[in-house]
Amino acid sequence: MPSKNDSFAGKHREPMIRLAQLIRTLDYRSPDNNWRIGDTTDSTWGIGQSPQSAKNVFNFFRPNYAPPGSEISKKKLVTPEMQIVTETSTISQANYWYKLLNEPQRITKRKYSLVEKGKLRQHNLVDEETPGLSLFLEEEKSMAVNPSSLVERFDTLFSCGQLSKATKESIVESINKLPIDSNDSSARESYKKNRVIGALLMVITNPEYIVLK
Amino acid sequence: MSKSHSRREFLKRAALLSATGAAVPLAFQLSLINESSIAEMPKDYKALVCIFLDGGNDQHNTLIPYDNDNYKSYQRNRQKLAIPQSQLILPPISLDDGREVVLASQLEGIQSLFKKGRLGIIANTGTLLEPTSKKKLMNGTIKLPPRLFSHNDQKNYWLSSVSGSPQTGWAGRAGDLFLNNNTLKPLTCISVNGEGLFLSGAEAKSFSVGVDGNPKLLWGSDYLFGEDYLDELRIMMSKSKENHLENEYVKVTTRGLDYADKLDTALKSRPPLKTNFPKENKLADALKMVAKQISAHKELGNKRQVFMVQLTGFDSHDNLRIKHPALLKLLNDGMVSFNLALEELNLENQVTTFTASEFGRTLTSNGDGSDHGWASHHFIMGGAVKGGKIHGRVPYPIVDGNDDFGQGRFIPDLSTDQFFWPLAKWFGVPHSDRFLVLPNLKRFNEEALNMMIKEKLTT
Repeated sequence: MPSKNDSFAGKHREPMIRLAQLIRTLDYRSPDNNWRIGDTTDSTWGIGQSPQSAKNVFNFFRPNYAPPGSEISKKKLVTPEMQIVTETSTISQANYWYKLLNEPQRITKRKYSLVEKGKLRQHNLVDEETPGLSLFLEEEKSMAVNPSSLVERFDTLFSCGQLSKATKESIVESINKLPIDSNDSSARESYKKNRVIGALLMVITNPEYIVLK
Repeated sequence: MSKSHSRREFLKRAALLSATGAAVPLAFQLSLINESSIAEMPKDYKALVCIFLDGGNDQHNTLIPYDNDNYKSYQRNRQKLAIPQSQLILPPISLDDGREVVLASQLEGIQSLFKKGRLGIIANTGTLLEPTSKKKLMNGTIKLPPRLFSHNDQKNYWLSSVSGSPQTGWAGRAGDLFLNNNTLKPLTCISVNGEGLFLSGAEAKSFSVGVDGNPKLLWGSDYLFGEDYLDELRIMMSKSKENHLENEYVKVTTRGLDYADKLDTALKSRPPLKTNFPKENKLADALKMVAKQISAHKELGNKRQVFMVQLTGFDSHDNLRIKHPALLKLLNDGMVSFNLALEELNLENQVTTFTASEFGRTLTSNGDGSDHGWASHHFIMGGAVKGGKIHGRVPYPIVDGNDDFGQGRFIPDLSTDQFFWPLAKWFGVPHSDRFLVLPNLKRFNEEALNMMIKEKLTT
């Protein structure tokens, strides 16, 4: 068993595990409590994995899989979960996370109405069609003026504090360039949301997060 | 490719042979190194397409005994699995010894390609380490591939044609020889829902393409966050890492990021295919994407490509009489439309398609299905194949005979190496490099299958 600092240590977090972590960590809501997320199997628009939908009875990966020709296989180590890492799924997962963060109801067809009573913002359920998931990101948006606190929070919650200093600094630098000030309150809300999603997307598409050490 | 460069590549590959798990004697490796040949720069375009029938295709209900005696024997052994004679409606095929066989009625299009000489059948082929007979098996004097009848191990063997824990597939090793002739090297060995192992070589990597093309990061839109953000996200996702798992992830991501656009541009530069591919047929969807890429080969600048697609669900332990015909129909419709598309592109002589599957199935019935077998029959399709012919010997449908390793698991006459060598040779693998691609071929008669049309030497 290699130690945490060994360059061969780690485990690829399966896309489904990452999806579950995202939904459980953030304030996702399921109005009918059925947590409908639909079929995510497709590797060009989904995440390339879905519960109970492995293509054969041996589940998604073979126990002795290692990427052919890699340093890992030369050492005769195995990384079964990497069998479903492909040139399509790595990109489509990033796109899927964006959609799931930005507008989950576009995938799950569900509407909420925003009612503002003074400072209190409430999201009320307005229709009864096949309820899916919603996400408001209010807590995270309150941190959007300070990208480094956002990144620290996501590093703790998602990557167990395993993001490197350099990666965190790059993310903060990128997010600082996204606009935040506006006199228009709806523009301000959307700027905040953009910063939150932009920062989180850079964390959860980063291999330092994707490989759990 | 300069001579010294090709020689260096060649030596590197020869050294890698020993890592394939096959025991290659040193003297043999040295004799290879003395030869200086390497795949010459080809002028024409050629592609190999593997259709993998995942789960183990039941060959007994694919090519069925038709003459009375053998049909009766088939029926006696298969019981409820036997297709009623009244449902065998396609024209029977005569064998040299007077017997007759017939393709399942769902394979109507395949039968007509066979009749036209566009499709051939390779009989009783399977995984072997050395020529094998029942007598030698019973004496225990024969080396066998690891774990016969096991899905994973046998699939690995079919994809790699070496035993042990293979790290490369034979198509990947063939791809290695031609990488330097291709402009877009990562698009040499392409999987559309296939398996990476088959397409991985020492340098060649399996590249995954979706049935509708490949996704672009955030749909290539800098509207969402601005141009800088999109660039910086790409950079972060493709930055190399010290941790090897992270770095492997980065390598795959980088290939995906770099080639999605190039593939998309090439595909969009071509007129849409006129050929109709059937709907609700995942094999046809994948083959359509393969045909599109083949049509764009000039734009992609690649002279040699290998593709792998897959049809899953063949592991018919139960409900075989319902499940299996439906799968054969998907296979038939997929192959027929793929052939039409290649004719439309006028590339039918330059593309050879073949089927593979981890094993055949038992002749005997388990009551509702068949169990894991060994040898099976396969199809080869294209203008370059000797079609209209069954290559190899169709065993008699009897249990406990000389062909049976128990419960009607048939012992292969032909090894995967003997099946693959004519394909590799047609593709352009030089004779002197044959053992680099198929190390076990040296234990077999490499000329056993005369299944490809001899090409006129082009200048």
